Amino acid sequence: MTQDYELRIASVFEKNKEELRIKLDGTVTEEIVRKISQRKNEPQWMLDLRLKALHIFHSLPLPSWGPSLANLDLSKITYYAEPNAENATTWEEVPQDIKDTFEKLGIPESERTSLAGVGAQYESSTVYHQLKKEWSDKGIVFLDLDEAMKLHPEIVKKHFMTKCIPITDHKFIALHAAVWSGGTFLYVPKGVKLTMPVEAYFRMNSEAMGQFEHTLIIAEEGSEVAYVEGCSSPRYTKASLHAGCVEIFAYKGAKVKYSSVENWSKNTYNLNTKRALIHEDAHIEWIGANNGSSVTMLYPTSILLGDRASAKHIGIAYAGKDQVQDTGAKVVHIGKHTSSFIQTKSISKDGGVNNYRGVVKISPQAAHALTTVVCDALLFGEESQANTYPAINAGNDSSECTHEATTGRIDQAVLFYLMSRGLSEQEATALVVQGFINPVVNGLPTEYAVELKRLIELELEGAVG
Amino acid sequence: MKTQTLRYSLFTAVDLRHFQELFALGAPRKTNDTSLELFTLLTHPLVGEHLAKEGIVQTHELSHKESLHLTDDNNQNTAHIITVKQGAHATITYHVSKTKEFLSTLIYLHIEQDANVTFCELQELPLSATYHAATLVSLKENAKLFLTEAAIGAGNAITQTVVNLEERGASVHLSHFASLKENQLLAVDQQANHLAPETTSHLIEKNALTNEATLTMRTLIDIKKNATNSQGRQRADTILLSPRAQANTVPELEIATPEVSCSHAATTKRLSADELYYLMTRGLTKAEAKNLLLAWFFSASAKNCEDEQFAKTLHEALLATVSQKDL
Repeated sequence: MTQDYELRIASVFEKNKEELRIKLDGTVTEEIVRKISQRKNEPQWMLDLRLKALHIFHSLPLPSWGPSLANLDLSKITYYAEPNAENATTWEEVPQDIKDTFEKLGIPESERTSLAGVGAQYESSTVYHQLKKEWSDKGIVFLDLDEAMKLHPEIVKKHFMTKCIPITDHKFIALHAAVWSGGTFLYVPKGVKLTMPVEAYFRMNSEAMGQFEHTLIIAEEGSEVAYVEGCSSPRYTKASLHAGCVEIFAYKGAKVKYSSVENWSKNTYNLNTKRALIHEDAHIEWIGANNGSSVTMLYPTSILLGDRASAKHIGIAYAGKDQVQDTGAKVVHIGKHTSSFIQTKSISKDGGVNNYRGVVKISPQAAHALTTVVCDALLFGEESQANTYPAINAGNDSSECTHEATTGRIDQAVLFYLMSRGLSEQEATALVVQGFINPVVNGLPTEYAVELKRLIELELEGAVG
Repeated sequence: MKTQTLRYSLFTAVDLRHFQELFALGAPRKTNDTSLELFTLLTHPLVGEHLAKEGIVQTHELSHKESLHLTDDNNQNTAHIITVKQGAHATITYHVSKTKEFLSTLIYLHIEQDANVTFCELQELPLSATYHAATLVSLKENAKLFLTEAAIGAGNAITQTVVNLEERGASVHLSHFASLKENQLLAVDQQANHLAPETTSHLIEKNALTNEATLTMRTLIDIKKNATNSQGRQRADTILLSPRAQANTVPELEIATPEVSCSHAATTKRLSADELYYLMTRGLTKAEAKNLLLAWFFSASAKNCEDEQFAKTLHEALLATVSQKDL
């Protein structure tokens, strides 16, 4: 079992030979945008939206806050790369080298044992997408977004970058809207409870690749769904860019659990945007782990629109040498009696920098809102950093906001106690770290939980002494 | 105690040189972002704005066991440059209450080795006034500062406090209290920079807001790489007494060394319904119960103020602003 995970972890950074039908790179232009739209045979409204977004992208400045993006050369990114593969519904139809990659990552195995459906994206296109029949019979739709646009145009048009994440939000979301490709569409009809998770896996293979997948999850009234996302890419020297977008709509009484483990290679700029609109009595749970990338800027957001809507954000970030993890969470309370809980854990080692950046805004009409924010940081090594920038904006007197944060190294008294019971310093440290990350790990599906634990163990090897 | 008063005019390059000579703080050296040398001090926007205005500068030197009582009697923008000599024990109070329109003040507090300072400031300007204040502190080896700031008045106020713990063993206990009503706007920016090993900062904020008052409060504990074995603690509690009062709290930590212990906690809520109920079952009216809870909430305001009379004035002023009446 452990060996399987070792293999999976080792395979994350292996690369395949580049075999593409089409590759669009250089500075992003109207021509590139039109070509992407043409390849996908998109309706006019989508092309118009792409072109409008491109104009916005060129007019917006880079963020004036957060980590430096100086080494990200947007004129050297591949904006669209179409692999030499069709979107298949059986793994046999997937080209052998791509199939092998996903086999090593354990995706087909998980599909057989513990998932309701799987989507696999390679570069800019989906190469496999399948939902088990028992679930599709209940009306659940799990497709790649390009196909969903053809089969369910009205639902996609209503939800795609309209109310949840508008194309004007920030520079990288405008870029995403202009060049997006692939991603997932998950629709759960009213009252249907999807008791097994579905998984989407996004894989970048080429050097200096840009991946801009779009995930759209719609949970209708009273439905339940758990969605898992994994991401990885091989190691290169040139910077890659991931500017994905996740939009989630949880309608009245719906429950959505979104889990992701982002393990991009350490030459990747992960500038990702995720947001959920939560209606009356609905609930969202975000579980996120970020342990790859050179720079991550990711702040999953919950907009609690309806009365009694609630959100739970659990996150872990690991920053090693030359890594900056600028992560956090944002919650906006609009409905009455809404509640939110944010818990983040960060580990910095060998000069890695972790920033928790979050906002909780309680609007004046959000009477009796409750929010709790807890951030804990562990530091290893002389050069490492942990910074916390939480903002709590309380707009009425019937709400309660609490925030706590702690930063430091592992408690020496705890280490001493464990070592006095016969553990080596390395073992004692590992045990304390496992306890530290447990709230996040416990929320993940088993295979991701084991992988994340092992990844952090590997990263922390040599942290002692 | 030595006190000297000088007039300064518009902030120009010539004035800057003049300023340095006058206060013997040395020529601007190659500065980094943590230095509290004069150059940095003058490049801060708030301070720059302050110095751009017509005003006076007073210098004070305190040694042994001395007290200094400052007021805004002269009704002018004022900069106080205060040096507390090595090993001295100083008690300083600052009462800002008279200006009706606009007042800008700057305190530069230089605390030498082993000195122990208690500084209490009460700002209770009328609501018609606008107030800009900057307090900049440097602490040398084993120096200790107990700084209490209370903000009550001014319709529109911005205050900034920067404490640099420059040498080993320096410590600061910074307590900020705000009691706001009507449509007051108060922006508070506090920063404790740990620049040396074994330094300690405890930041406490207690705020009560009623009517349509708005408070924005940013606090930062910044522990630099060489500030090993330092300790930073931050706690902010805000009570909202009206549905339209707003509090924005941003408690920040920047930690660049693992050899530290650092934490912060913040709460924003209204007075506890359970506690109010308990007090009312003991015969208090709702307003009396609220006032008792507020008195307890602000009780720490007197803790670090050695001047008892001033501490009493400060506590009473905090309570008077948000005191509740039975309908």
